[in-house]
Amino acid sequence: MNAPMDNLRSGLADLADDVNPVDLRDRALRTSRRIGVRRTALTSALSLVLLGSVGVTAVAMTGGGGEVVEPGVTATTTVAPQSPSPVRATVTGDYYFMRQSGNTKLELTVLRESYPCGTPEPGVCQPATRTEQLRTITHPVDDACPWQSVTVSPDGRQVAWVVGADGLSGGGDLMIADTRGGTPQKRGSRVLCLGTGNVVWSPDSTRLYVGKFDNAGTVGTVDATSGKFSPMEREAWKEAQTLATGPFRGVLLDGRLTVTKADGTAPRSVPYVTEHGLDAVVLGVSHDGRYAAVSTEAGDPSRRLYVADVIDLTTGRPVGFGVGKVSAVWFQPDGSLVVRVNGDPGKVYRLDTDLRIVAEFTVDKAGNRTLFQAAFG
Amino acid sequence: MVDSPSAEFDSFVRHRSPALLRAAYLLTGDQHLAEDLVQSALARTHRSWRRLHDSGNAEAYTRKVMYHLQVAWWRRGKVAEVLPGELPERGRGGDHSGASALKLSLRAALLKLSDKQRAVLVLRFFEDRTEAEAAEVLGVSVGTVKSQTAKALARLRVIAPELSDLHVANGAAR
Repeated sequence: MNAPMDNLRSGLADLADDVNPVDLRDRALRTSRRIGVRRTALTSALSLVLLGSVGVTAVAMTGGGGEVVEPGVTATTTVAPQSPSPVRATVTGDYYFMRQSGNTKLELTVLRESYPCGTPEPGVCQPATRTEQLRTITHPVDDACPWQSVTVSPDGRQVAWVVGADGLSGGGDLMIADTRGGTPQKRGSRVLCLGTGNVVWSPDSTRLYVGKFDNAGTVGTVDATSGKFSPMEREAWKEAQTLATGPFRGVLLDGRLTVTKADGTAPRSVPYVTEHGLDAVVLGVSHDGRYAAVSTEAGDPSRRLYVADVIDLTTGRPVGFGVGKVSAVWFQPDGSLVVRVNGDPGKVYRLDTDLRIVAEFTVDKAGNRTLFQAAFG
Repeated sequence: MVDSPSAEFDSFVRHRSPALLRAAYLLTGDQHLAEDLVQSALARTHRSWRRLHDSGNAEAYTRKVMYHLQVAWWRRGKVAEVLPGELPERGRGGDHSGASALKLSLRAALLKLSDKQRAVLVLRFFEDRTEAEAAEVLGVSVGTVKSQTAKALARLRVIAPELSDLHVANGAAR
């Protein structure tokens, strides 16, 4: 008589016999090199964009209530009760969401946050939100590249993405289109879509920093209008790509988290080991270099939007957020943060430099929409 | 003579890929997906080869990455499940066609399990890991392994009753 589960064991063993052995050495080495390329491109990988508002003070608002103008993503806004300020600056924000629809479409939506001053009474800036349905990206069946790479230009007018090409696992054609619709234009080929921060807009929205899908690990810029590719020396490219999103970059290596300026100078390092001892990457560094967001999902070659920890480089310890355990972080040029928290995907918080809540949005139907980019300006 | 790190990695890939592919095939149900999974795990191993080689822990690391990648990929739904419309009728008797039908049924049934359920079954009953070892590989608690195993076996009974003699009794925990 067989021992319990012996039949299942033998069934699994028989089934495993169906796989054909193949030599994976060359493929593994190629993938390793591509991972290396991506890791050299460590930037604020969530495509934070500068709209010329560096130094703007986070606002403290009163009142609440968001305006909903489109179905889909709706939002309500509440504000921090503390620290109302007699001097009110206005900081608007755009929050870009994507949703996979079926296996051939990626729907884009933007939630716009604004503070029309003087309404309803002079001197008061009431928060208002509205959502807009942006374009839908159509792609080949189960092509993961668009989800991996989609990013909106700093001026909000264009969106770029990579569509997978036959025979390339992790790369394809670079497409650019108006965010609101129209026919996408092909602006490059054999562009990498592996990893995070693989397609990064220049601050003036005229060029994109990309890596090429080749064994040489070619990197450079693509002109958004002409599609002309201009190769760059790797270190110069790394610095320029970093500066497109922030002044600092970070790396995890051999159990240490190191943050440097974009040009690789002025390193600051603290010990950091991931939960299961697996590798991870730095998703972004705050604009003062103090905080670094470390990804979850070790070893994952896909775009990472979720963070395991936000590390304070001054203490070497994870930051404790009053809003809960954060699952996603966008560092803003003015020192403020946009965060989402575990267990409540419908909430988006804006925190000031002291990590206090400035505003929070409840985004309906957020469960199947991924917030992939946030921009203040 | 001491081999170079590169040669040692080549040797590791040559010798361990077949076993890794077998587990990956059970996790993915597809030759190409299995290759992609092992390739990605090996690439991660290559990135950390010096440290792993020094610690003598390369294969354990590769397997751990493989399982974590598999769970992550399926969780995001970026890998299309290809399922046959109907499970094949199980053949009668012990002939070759019957055995093939059984394998097809098992493959289809595995793909109907959740990512974690499939992972715990492969770890427990293909790799013959203890519950504690499976928990360590997946980075979850032993309790989670126990519950996922029980759920997986219960689900197999529902979705593939023709496989009843593959899971004739509750798995005895080791």
